[in-house]
Amino acid sequence: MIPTETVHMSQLANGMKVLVIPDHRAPVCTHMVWYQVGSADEEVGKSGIAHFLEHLMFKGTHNNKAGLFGETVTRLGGQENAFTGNDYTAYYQRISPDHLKTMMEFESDRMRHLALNEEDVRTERDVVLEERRQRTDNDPSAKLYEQMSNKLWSHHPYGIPIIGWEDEIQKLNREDAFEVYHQYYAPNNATLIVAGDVQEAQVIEFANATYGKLEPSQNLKPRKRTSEPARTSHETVLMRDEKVMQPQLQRAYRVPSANTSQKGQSEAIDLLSYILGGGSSSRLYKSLVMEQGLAANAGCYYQSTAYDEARFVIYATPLENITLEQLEDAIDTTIKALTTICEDEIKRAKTRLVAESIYAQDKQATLAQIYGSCLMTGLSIEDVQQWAHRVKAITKQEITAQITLLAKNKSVSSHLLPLES
Amino acid sequence: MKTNVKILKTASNIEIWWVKETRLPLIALEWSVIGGSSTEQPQKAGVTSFMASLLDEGAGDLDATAFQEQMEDSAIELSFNTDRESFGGSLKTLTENASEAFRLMALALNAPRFDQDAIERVREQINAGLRRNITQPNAIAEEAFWSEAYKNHGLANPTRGTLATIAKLTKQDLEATFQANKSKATLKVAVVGMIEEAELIDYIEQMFGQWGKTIIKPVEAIAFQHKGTHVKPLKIPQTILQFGLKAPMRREENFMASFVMNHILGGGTFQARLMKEVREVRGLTYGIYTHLYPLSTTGLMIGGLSTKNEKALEAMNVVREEMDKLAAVKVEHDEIESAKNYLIGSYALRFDNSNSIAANLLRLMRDGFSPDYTMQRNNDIKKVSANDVQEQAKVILHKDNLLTIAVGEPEGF
Repeated sequence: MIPTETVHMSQLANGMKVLVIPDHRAPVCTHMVWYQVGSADEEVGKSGIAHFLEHLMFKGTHNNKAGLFGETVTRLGGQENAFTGNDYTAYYQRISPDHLKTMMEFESDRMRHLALNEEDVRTERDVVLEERRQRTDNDPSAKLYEQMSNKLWSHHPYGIPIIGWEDEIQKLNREDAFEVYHQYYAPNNATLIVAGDVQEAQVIEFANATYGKLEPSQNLKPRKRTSEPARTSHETVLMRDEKVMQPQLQRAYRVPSANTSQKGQSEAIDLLSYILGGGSSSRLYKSLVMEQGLAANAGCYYQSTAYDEARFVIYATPLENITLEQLEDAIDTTIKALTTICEDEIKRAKTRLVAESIYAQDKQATLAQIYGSCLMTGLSIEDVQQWAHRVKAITKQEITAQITLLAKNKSVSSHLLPLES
Repeated sequence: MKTNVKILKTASNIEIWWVKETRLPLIALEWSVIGGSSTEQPQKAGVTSFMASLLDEGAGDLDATAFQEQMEDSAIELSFNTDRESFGGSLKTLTENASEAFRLMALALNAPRFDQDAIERVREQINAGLRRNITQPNAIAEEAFWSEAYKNHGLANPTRGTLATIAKLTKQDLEATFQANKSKATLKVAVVGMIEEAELIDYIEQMFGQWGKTIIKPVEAIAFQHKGTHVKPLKIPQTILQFGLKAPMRREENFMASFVMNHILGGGTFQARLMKEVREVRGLTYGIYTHLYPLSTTGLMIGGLSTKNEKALEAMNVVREEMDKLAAVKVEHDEIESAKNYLIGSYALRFDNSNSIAANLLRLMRDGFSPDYTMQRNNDIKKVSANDVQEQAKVILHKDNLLTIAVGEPEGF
């Protein structure tokens, strides 16, 4: 019997979904609003606007001047933050449940009444440019990752960085921000998640009194992203930089996500990913690091939560005098050998994934994060709650059937190297 | 903040702070001893961290592969860590696998193999990380900061070592470091878990009971005293700035007042003086912070920000101005009450998951507090006055005593 959290899902009259995840261990609650809009929904030429809007949401409304919400959270002993992904934007506070209603009052206010003056827009654009420099421009491997993503998805917007391209960020303005805001920030395009020391009835009562007063939007468009044509040839993105002291190989694939896969497929990919490169007992580590002495480290990961296709990445750090081509070959040999997966490996992988689902229940913020990101990418409550059970039921055949997803001609590699000597 | 800690003692007098978990069938454990990189000889810098990385690479009859497989068979998370003043580790396991988890951890803590092939493999992993750090601005800043601030003292040792020091470490060095650090004398253990009291006591005794009691050679106390600005050139569009000043240690009487002062200056909210002036008003940075870093041999305040090279001088000038202002002008009632309310109210946020509770309890143990301190801590903050804050600002925030490291191509430096 796998312990599973209890959650309560409902909907307000204006279409806003409400999810309550009780956890009475500490007098703390996590209050989150998730909007079904992310960087992949941006207009061409305006990359970074979803993330920029996220920043601007802290600059005050017609009812509450800039900084008042934040000052109130602080004064009440809470912490706040926000983040933007490809498929969603979320705002949250962690605070005593005594102040939950106050949080809803402020959060519902900024859903519809954002003000924005030019000075704030200008300053915050500078902040976003510094953020881009800090996260990406200072670091050759981050720049290369951006280039690799752009090649992996050359039509689909997942290939555009969430923070935006520098030249496009520089041109973003107040009107651009309001366009996204008016289009997507609506109660019927949002999900409220409250986790922690709360009672469902009271959360609904507060939600009706705050978010419930907002009118739904009539003109919500369904999500529509350009599809990416199938890849049938391997490409390598090569970067040489004087700051590179340690070469690195990455190889990325587009694979079905939890949302786009057939029944059981993404769980099978989860297991395959762990067996292939999830830890020191994995195929990649054993083969490349321990047996062949080619790499200092090797592994892989699968990010299943995406509205469209998901990303599967293999990585390896070469030892001295080993070329990245040698690593590529060793990776392909290891992938082909996956047909010999045995029951021990499968059992180990299932044990790990089931344990993770239990560990996740220990932290309210983690649960809120998991549910939010899943609900925003086409999944249901049941999908999340039953995940560990589905993983347990996956057969060896289902796992080995996914090996074909990792054929080299479906991937893009990135080679990070020092300057030629 | 009430935490329901029960203090347990094992047969050989090892103290455990235990919070019984009743909802989920898991156990989170944190432990540490006094040791770490400040106790190393400079030419062997990184040996403790190297040693820690090898403890799960084979123990008893199990080589690295067998050990790792047995851990993964039960989804056990076992890790070891090293800091400037401590060596320790963590364990996370489902209750149903407790006996297996404690068995493996006991092996790692008492009979690590230090096999030569594991040593060479881990050495290459450490080297790969050190190579990356050569041109990684935050790593460069940290290394320069500590070597300037604590020249010729153990605190200047880079915790991960350098390519030069790691290259020379032998199996003997690693074994000797293990022996030197594994002492019950300074051992502290914190556990949050669904487990029976008697069982837990037995497991802890099984893991640590055979350890000796010799105390590692103590590192002498040292005050943070070096100042000045040091530039480390790196071809990047930003300058990464790290700065520091002398500050109180944890058990000094004025610590809480300096804690509140630090929060007002550069704590983690948008209301902090530096965040307001450098980010909100001027748009110069994505993040700017200061925090107190009290160790047992020294106390300091560390701050940092990153901004484009053309604005580095302007940003540091604003930092200095804000330090002067905080020392010169008493903080008004609303601002200090808000700061204190934040520090008091947000304390509970640390205690909402097992790993965090265990880590916080361990820190309290290390600092020499008793479990009921979690009830007392907020009163200590309440007592801090605007006068106290200003006094700490005057004592600590001497802009001419700032040690500043700038990594990048800062204009005007």
